[in-house]
Amino acid sequence: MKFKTAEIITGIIFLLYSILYIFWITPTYVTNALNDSSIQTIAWTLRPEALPNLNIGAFIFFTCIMIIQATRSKVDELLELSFNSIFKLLFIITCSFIYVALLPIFGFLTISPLFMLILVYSLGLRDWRYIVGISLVMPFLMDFFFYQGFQIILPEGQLWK
Amino acid sequence: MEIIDQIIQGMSLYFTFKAVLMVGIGVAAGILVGAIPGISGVMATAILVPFSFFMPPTEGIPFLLGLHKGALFGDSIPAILINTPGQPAAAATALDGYPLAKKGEAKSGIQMALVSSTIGDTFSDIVLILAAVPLAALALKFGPAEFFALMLMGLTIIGGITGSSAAKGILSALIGIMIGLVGFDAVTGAERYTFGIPILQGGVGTIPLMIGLFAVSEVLIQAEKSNKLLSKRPDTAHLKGGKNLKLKEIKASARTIIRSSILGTIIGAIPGTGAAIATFIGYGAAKRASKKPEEFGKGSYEGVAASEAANSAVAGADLIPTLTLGIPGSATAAILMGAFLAQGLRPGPELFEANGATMYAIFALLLIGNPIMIVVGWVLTPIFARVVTVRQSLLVPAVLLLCLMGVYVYRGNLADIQVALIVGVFGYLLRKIDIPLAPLVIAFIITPIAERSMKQALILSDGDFSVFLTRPISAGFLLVALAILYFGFRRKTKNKKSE
Repeated sequence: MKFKTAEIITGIIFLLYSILYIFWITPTYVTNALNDSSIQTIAWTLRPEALPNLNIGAFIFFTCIMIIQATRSKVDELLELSFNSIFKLLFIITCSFIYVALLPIFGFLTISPLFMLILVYSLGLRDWRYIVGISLVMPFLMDFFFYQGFQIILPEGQLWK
Repeated sequence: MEIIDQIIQGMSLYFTFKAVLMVGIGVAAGILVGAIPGISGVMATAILVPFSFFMPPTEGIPFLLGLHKGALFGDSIPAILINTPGQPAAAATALDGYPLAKKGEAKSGIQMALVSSTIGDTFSDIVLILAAVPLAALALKFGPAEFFALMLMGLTIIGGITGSSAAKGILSALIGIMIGLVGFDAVTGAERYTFGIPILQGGVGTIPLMIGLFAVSEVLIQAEKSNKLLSKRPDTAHLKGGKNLKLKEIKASARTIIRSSILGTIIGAIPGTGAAIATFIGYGAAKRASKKPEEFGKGSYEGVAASEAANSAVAGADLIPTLTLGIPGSATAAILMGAFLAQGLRPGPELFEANGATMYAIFALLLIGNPIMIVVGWVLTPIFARVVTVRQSLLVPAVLLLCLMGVYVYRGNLADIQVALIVGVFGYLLRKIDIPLAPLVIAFIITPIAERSMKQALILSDGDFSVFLTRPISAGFLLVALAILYFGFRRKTKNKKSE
């Protein structure tokens, strides 16, 4: 994909988000926690949605400028993103979220070596001495460092309690 | 008399063996993490800052100051040894540092980087100390309208001149404001954009945002390289042996170091300009003034000295707007400001009134930190330099694990890790389309303060927006902001024409 195409797509996503922000997110999620009706009577500039509205207005303006600049650009630079790298990134992110979900259940010392092992292997290293070594040493070293240095207990895991 | 009392009080609080030791530990940690290939000084600071939250201010603040210094110098190690600068600012160092390493002079090259970095840092620290008090005193005379206009101007400078296009820089700052608006509104108590998630009621956490944006996104950038490249051991033939730096080599580069220190300090004091601009301007000026310009790019000590002195001079200078006005001059300064806030210090004009003793102690520790950096850097760099020999496929997962746990220890909440991961992916996408991250972070940090000033000014004027235009200083700041925007877009148009 061309870089300027990516910029235009980003701009369109930003504009769609802005519409969502103005018509749904701000009306729904700027809420008066105190249920104080006096907020409705104060000057609009003092209301909680004043700065968000001004900000989103500026956001739309500069997004349009970015889109215009991208459409006029004559540079044919390509975006550095291959199918392989997208797949690898998705894998790392998915693994990270699964790791975070499993942390409170299995605990840091149980799940982290497995997480490290999968990541090191997926990044291309095939020497099992290094893979197993770093996967075991790093979590234990971190646990020791956090506890001894700062008296911080990393997640222990409900399964072992 | 009051100032003397505050200085004495500051010294008695912070001038302890433990505080000086914490500066040393901060410097060492900064050098070690900064020396990891692909990790910039900003990222190193973001990763290590959470540790300061578990220290009392008398130890946490010295640790942060040492970290700030060490991380900056640490960047130069992989730049010189394996031609892998952690950030654009270190790229100028690699131009001459790597050829020096190939000539078998890596050790003296790194030592030159250390010496010039320390001199540049010392110079900018002295300027910071001299400029901070009068500037803060001047800023104290500002009312809320002036203060809001000043912050808007600062943000426009940062957004307008950072990155490849003014529009992208400003967009980044606006995204930062959007994220900064999450949480309770300070005036009305209304809940904004929390989506019913309890952890968001206090706003998006500073540390998850910083680590996500800088560290997690960088891990993803590194991870997308080919597996072959990631699992290959770096060429470390230039690591061993080499001579020590001689005094005559430092003397020969003295003028260059002083010139670059002055340039770096001036450029660094302008919010948003960043170290990359300073290093390349310093490098270019040194080459023009050198008696041997033909040696530049082929392993010139002057070249290394020029870029490193300018790079480090920015560090002290960008603390000038951070400490005196509460406007962080760079991403690293924004992270430090977040950490100072967590330590109970609120950077801004009132800082000298509320925490005068601590401020003078900070100044003293900044100066003391420089000789400490020389000693720690000289002794430990040969050991720390070995980190560049580690394969990326081992480093990337290890750094990711450290980042995730760094976020966890911030509040002991696993939801913060999820926030950091989401922000990391978002930061990665922004970087892909060349939207700079520094304006986002700076805007995020100053949004609550700027909004409070805006609302205070509006309350005084019964909600009338013209208050920002009728007060001369405030109007002046807004005019400057407009002018910066105009020149920012002109720069882009000119660049396009030259293409």
